[in-house]
Amino acid sequence: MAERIDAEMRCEEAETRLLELMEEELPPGRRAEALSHLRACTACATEFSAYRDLLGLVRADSVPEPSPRFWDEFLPSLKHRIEQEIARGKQEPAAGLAGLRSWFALPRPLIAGLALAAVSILIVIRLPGFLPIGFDRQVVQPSAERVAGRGGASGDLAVAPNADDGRRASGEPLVVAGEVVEDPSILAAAIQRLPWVDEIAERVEAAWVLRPGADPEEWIASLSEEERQILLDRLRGFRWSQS
Amino acid sequence: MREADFELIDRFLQGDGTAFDELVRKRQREVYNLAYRMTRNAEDARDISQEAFLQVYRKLRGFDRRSRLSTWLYRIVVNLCLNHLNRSSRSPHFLGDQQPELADPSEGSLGRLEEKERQDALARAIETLPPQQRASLTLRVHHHLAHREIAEILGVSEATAKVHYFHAVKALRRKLANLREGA
Repeated sequence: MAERIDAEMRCEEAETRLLELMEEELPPGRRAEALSHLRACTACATEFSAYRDLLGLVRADSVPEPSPRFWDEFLPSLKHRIEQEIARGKQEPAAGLAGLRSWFALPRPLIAGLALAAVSILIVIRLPGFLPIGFDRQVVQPSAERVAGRGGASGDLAVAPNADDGRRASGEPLVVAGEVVEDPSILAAAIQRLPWVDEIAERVEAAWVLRPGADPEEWIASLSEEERQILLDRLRGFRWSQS
Repeated sequence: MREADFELIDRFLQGDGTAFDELVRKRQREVYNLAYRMTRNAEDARDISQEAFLQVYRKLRGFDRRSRLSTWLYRIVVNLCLNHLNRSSRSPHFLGDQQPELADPSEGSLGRLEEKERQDALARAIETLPPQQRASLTLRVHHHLAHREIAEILGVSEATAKVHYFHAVKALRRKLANLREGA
């Protein structure tokens, strides 16, 4: 009786090792013991063989091949979903949208320049209800020359009214970190130095790349009210030294 | 492979959108196959595959490269599949029309079943496995991942991942043994 129990125990132990043996996960000593047991025990050897057959059957379990059209449409459909998501404004802040640019087959330097300009324009031109540019609008009375900056766009920047922003007075110059903004790109640069807001700027940029001819309001349609408010707050407290 | 994947990521992050296209084309079949094996439904597998790549697109910038891209990608797919299976509160697609237990002794032994019958029987047996066991089995057998990687994908310890796998194989063995014994 004792011998039978011992034999059963050995088989039980071997059985627990069968899969590990098959997986080649047993240390050399135990592997040798298991193999030795299989040579002596027909029942365990049969069981081992059954496991091996079973895994062979599992490996042969194939996935039905979709039609060629399925794969032809897979990537375009995915891109469409990404574009839709951007349009709906449901994209997460962490979205990596940089890769979207080349889908539109534009040279990267051009894209980069246009995107920077887009973000700048977006912020400085009149956007009722959006991006009320209220950051650091301290009492600064710049000279006409400084406000004019490089040209017309900068001039617009300095006087752009925003009816929806009570913190901004019409005609008041825009100031970032205590400096009157002479170049719209300064605003974009400030935004891009804000870690979290950088994602927002990127989303706006991507939206513009997708719809360059659209109204600027559409470019920032993907921003939620909360995101717009965060952008505003971060810019208000922005200092160049923090970047 | 790992370096090639990271190169693709670098290109994507530098603004080369064709890199994302390449990544999708390179990985779409394995993603689809994994999703299919988890859900056993072509439509669900397609939706999950698309959603997985959508998440990759959103999160690629935050990928820390501590694991292989494939491991990270599989984790996304498996999580989507597990959520899907939990939501649908049914295991796979055709379980509604099928008995989860395979045993129909009149069909004869496993050895004598026709190939298709055997594969169908196996498919049904796999569908009765708990989702995490099914994931472990699929990742191990079809995607040739180490238990350590499977553990990372499932968010469990390596020992637990092994247990999932061994339980899955033993469960299949029991279910298919029913057929054999019933012969």
